[in-house]
Amino acid sequence: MNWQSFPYFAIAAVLCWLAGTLSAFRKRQRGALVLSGLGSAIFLVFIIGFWMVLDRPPLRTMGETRLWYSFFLSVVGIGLYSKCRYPWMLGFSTLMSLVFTLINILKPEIHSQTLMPALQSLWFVPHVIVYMFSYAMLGAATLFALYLWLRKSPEEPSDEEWSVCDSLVRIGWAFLSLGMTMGALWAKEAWGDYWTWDPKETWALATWFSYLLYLHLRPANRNHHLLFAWLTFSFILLQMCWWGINLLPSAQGVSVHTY
Amino acid sequence: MLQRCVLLLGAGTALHFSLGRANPSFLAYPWGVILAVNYLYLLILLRANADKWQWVKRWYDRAAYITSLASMLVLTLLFGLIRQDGSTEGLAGVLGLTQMSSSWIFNLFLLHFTTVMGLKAIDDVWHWRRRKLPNVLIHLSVFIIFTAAIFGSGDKEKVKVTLPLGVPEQMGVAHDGLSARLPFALTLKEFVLDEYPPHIHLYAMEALSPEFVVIDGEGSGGELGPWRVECVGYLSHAARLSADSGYVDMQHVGATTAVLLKAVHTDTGQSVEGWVSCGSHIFGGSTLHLPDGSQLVMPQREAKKYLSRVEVVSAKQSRTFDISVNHPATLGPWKIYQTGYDSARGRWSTISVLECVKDGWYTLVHIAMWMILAAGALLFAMGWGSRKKQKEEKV
Ligand code: HEM
Repeated sequence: MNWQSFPYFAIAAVLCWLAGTLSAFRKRQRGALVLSGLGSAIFLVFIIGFWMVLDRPPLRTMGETRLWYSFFLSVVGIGLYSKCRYPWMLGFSTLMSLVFTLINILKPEIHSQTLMPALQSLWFVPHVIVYMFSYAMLGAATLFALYLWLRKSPEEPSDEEWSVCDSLVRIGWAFLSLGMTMGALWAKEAWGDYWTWDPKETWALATWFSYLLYLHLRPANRNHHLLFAWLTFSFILLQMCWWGINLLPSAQGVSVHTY
Repeated sequence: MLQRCVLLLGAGTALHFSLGRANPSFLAYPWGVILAVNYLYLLILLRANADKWQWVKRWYDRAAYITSLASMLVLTLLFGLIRQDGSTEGLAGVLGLTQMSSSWIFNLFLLHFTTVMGLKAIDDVWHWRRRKLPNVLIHLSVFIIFTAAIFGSGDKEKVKVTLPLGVPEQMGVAHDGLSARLPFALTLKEFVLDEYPPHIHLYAMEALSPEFVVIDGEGSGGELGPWRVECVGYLSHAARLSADSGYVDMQHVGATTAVLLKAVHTDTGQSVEGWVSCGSHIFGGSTLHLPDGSQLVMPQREAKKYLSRVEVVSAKQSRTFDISVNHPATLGPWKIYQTGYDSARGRWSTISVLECVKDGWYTLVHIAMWMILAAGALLFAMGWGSRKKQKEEKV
């Protein structure tokens, strides 16, 4: 399994996700879950096969991390749908997974990369996977917030909707903390420093503070304009951390994390 | 709240103009520990008397933690946006924000934030409620980490040692550039380097193709642009005696990797054959020129793993460690890290670069970090719908 065979798996998975979404809108809940789950399973089979062929975890290049992101987004969408039964949740996660899958098909970064010694660590896999899962959760939170914010009626989110939104942020933030801590433990083991204020680390910390501020603002606040704007802003910071620093002038040539 | 921020900003600026960059050396052992213990005592004292002294409550109420969080966010954003080159130009340079981690402004706000969080953490422990376990764990562990980061910042001892094979060495270079004496002597017994198989790239229009083929023996190969590349000869220890001869098998210091490649154009069927090698510090390299003007080249092979077998002799004991990246050796409060070797010589390197780090805060910070991992897992396990549950409990 390699990037040449990726489109076949991707198309099969996307078709399943689309069929699942369609069933959800037709109120066939069981069918929606089974079909979407099948799509994610096909995707996972590709990732695992790719892992075995590469002989190293596929977490090294942007293209490879996008694989995980698509996969986790679909899983988060299924989880959300099975909790709350809003069909559009599956629709959104399918759409997002589709976008990231398409990027990988149209602009594949197929040149393989070796794993330099610093990356050969037990921490490598959990560190990156935890971050990707977190990004998927927070991506879902952002989409959900934007939906609640921009829909015509009702204006105010219900308690139930707030609870879903907060849970997504809380879990996404918990995984940000896990990823950051694992990164620090790993850096200590590899280089002797927990934290070196590398631009990626700095932006990861800013992202973490920003979501943390949301979590602290929320309990005494129901101003959804402010809070949803804040979530959107936080997600922009997350994008800076993920790939934006590759473009940022203040980070050029100084980050060990640019790829 | 705004007043407090203005005050911190003013104090930070004043300190910067009077003292320059914050230099944590005054926190070197034992002062960092003494101050940390007193700081902790002060916080506990404040919290213990919070009912008597109402103003203490204002130090960790909602306005305080929202402000302290927001101020840290703003400073971290500036940290990310301002190029950290230590320049003194412009407003950021004048205020010392071009070297944020040693600027007074940043560190004062950090201390303020840590104080607010510390009071909150102590308060959490005071009003222990099991349901809030992950929150308590997080407030407490982040507080410990930030406190250790602030008060431990003067304790960092990091000594770089360059070890030639077989020669005991007790001196190194500290992170301030001065030479430093270690409490033990290091001797490099053996250095082993494992490399990835050679990669062959196409070099055309002054650029190396991002694609490559991996050559790990005769018969291996692949396609590069319009060329089909196949390996018809593989020497892992090769030498070349003159610039225009081929490579021969030779077990000699400096032996390099050389592959005999056959390239066939996929459209025209045109075919060329020749040696490609990355060369070494002794023997020259070689590329294969193709008829269309491009070349097949082998960059230096990438290191897969490197390991130093090092004998460490201190007053008390003598031990031998295998040290590699991600696998430091531990010797009391010291850890010894593999950081480099003579990359021009690659597998023939006769030196190894190690870094000895003394960190008395290691255990404390590690405990706190594992607490965060536990809290994160708990938050995940309990995260879903906890607010609903809280409400039901209230009802
Ligand atoms: C790095 C710093 C901090 C972290 C990681 C942190 C983390 C958290 C988390 C995860 C929660 C639970 C939020 C939720 O799930 O709704 C929380 C709640 C809370 N935190 Fe913090 N916090 C930090 C700083 C502070 C500071 C400085 C204060 C200052 C007093 C504070 C006060 C509170 C309070 C009062 C709550 C309860 C909010 C509620 O009603 O749920 N936190 N904190």
